[in-house]
Amino acid sequence: MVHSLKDMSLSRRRFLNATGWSTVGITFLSSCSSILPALPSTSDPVAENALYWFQLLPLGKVKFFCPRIEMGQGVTIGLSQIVAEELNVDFTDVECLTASTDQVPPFKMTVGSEGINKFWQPVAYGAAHMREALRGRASNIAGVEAETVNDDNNGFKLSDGDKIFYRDLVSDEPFFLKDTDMEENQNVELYSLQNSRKHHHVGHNRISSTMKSIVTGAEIYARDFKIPDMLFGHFFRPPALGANIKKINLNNIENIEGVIRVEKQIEKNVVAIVAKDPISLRLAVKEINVIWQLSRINTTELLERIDVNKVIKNNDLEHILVNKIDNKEFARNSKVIKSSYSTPYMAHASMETRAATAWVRQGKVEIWCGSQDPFFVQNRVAKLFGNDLQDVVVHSLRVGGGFGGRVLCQPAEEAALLSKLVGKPVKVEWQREDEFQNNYFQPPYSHLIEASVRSDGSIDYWQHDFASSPIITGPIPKSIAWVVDSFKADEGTARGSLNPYNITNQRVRYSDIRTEVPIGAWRGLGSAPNCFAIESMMDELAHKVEIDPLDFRLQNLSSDHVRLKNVLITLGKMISGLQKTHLPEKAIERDHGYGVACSIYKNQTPVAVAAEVDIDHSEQTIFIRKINCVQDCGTIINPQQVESQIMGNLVWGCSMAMKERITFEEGRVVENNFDGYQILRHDECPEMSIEMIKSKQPATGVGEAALAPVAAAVANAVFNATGKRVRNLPITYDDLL
Amino acid sequence: MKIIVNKIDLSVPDQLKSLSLLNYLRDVLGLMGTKYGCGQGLCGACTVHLDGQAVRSCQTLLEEIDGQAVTTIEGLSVNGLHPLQKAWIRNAVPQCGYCQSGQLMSASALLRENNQPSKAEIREAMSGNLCRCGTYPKIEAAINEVVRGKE
Repeated sequence: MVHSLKDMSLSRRRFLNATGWSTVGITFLSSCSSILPALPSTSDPVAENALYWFQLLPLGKVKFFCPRIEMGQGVTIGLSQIVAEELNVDFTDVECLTASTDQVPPFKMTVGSEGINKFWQPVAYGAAHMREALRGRASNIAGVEAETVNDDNNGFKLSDGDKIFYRDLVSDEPFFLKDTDMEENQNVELYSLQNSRKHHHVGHNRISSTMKSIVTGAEIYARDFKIPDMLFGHFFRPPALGANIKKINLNNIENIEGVIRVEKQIEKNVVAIVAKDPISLRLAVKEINVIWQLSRINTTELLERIDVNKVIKNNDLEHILVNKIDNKEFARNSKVIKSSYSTPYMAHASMETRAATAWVRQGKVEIWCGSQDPFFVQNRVAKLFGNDLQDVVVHSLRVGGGFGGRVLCQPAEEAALLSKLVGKPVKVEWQREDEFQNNYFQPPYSHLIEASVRSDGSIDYWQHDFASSPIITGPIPKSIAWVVDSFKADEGTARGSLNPYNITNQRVRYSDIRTEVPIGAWRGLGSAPNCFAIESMMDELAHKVEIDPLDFRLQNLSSDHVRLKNVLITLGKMISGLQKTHLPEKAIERDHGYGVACSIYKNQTPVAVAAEVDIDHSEQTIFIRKINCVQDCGTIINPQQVESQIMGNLVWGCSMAMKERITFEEGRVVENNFDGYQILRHDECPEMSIEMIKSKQPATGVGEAALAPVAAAVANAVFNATGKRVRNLPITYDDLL
Repeated sequence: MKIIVNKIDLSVPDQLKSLSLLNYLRDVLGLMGTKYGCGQGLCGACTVHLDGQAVRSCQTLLEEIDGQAVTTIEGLSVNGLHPLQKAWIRNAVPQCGYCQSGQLMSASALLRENNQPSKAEIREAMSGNLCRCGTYPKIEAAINEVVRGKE
């Protein structure tokens, strides 16, 4: 069966272009691409790729090879609605599936809340071309001018009233777009993007058929994938960062029935087993003793290295984002505040622990896994074996929670190595402890902000210095990291570090310091830690001059940020009934307070949040009672899905504010399951009130936007309730003592 | 020993008696709807019903449940969808979806015991099931719809 049109011989040059590392500034390395390690796919979509994303099936249904990975953010739903809008079909007529790497040209990793923002237009463009190509076909068949072939549900209507359905236009083979279809029709109308048009799908809730497979347990995640003759593999992964194997005792492994292969390479730190079934595999894993030499990596030492005060002392703030301190003089009645803030190492803690199945045969590799970047997985496996890219095919399965943590899918490489050894398909599953210990982390942040405020509420100057680790270039292999670090300021680390306020005298500097701890994308990258510091300081300044914190923000907001202003005013109306209680004495057992914070995610999506907290001094608990949130993300394709994303971010933000922290002891992750690494539980989840601003502006990202201001709003609420300022996350009751 | 899984009588060979119910369901029976999440009974992803009660299948050994009846997400509703499953779809509760089998099994066990739970009772009964995507408010709304529907 024909799967797609895709030209399998994408040239190497085109590939490098397509994976897009030019944007990160390392194209000079591409001339020696054979020594270039595998890198994540960072190139934005181009219209011509849309050729490969659509097929019209013989029954008139549309097959949509979605160039985004679904991990719960609903992107496949929103993009399918766009396809339905362009092609005048029912939502259920769009059969959306995630393309395998051999079916479409490489697409960008699914990160950064870009699914709608960056893919709406190319998806609409491709689908609209499909519609027009079909219109051409209909006009040929009917022998009339294309202009007289009008849109109709699932096909066209001729001027004489006759209908031609899409299914009448396809033979036994699916219908594809050709290069010439796009060339002939460059000014194709994009229905989904026309605000004046009545939309049948855009702006409406649509429920994906996947919902049913999820609630009946039928949806297949990587761990659930099965293939005949599949074997089961296990790697003894280091129990600590930088740990090395000292000794291996295989004990009575040969007595365990079902063990097919034991692979042992002490010098490469490899011990792995393949067994015929998961039960034998687990017995074999218990039988083998691997003794590890741990490392000396510990949290205290790591945090000292990124302590901003030390970095300042060593004169090592290498990146300057703003430097406009013309005048550090200030009015006599100005008040200066200097505060340090910090956030810890954090983990993704997706509910699905990663897994992959690989089958290596006759020099070709096939992989089934859930990854945010299947082309990166393909590239890494190809490099591992010295294969050509087209000899490695990655099939994508639904990801059970990504949040940035699945750009890599390590078990895919592990399974491929084992499959090559045994010549059969092998599945490798990570356990929860592997997930916490062996993935990359959100880096800790250390901030120092000094600012001066006048009694009228204007800010004289703002100096913000911070230190963390590189995030976007975090997963770059060590072999080239030093080159990249020598000239590259990590934009992920800095995300959200420019405040939205109109402050004439400003300086923002930072340092991205690479350590032994693997770092990578975590929901929103730097936006939440940076917003925590900025919006905590804004609250401190407001309190100092006794101005209502929301009014203080509105007063200082830069005039460019009209949409954030509107969002803040809307939030103000929402919380107007809240009582501003400030009870510095523990005279009563319970305190209640509220706090606000805001940000503009990626300079696109303004969000403002007000958190209400209850503090019970006899129980020694801080409970987030309610989160109020207003967001403006431009045009909304599916309100239900956008609301879900906002809720998810608010829950995540509460979790980050109150619970999450990773620490290391001798390289071991101390919090390696959900007893140690606590995430927000249902009974801790606040009530939520969410307002989405109605807008016809272009759609912006929502997958990470509402997270950024939550922790600051909670900390500000705790201050409002108790008079105690908590500047280091997570917030615990002990911070109030 | 024998157990009943989704109304089917099964006899468990002696060499499998020491397996956890989770591993038996997934690795022996191939029922993949019940998920592994933590292996320590901390997250609730592996929740199934044992004689109608919600249990963590990763913490339940087969030898402890001789003769008992297990219901998994695949067996939650035999004819059509369970009212909770319908409410879950209507409200588009799932995001990534991985924890939702466990959420539904906990919610259905709750309603079986108490068809008019209060908000506090719902929150307490559901607090053993983690969801990283943050679907808690929608889970609560979906359960409430079913509860109200019964009034």
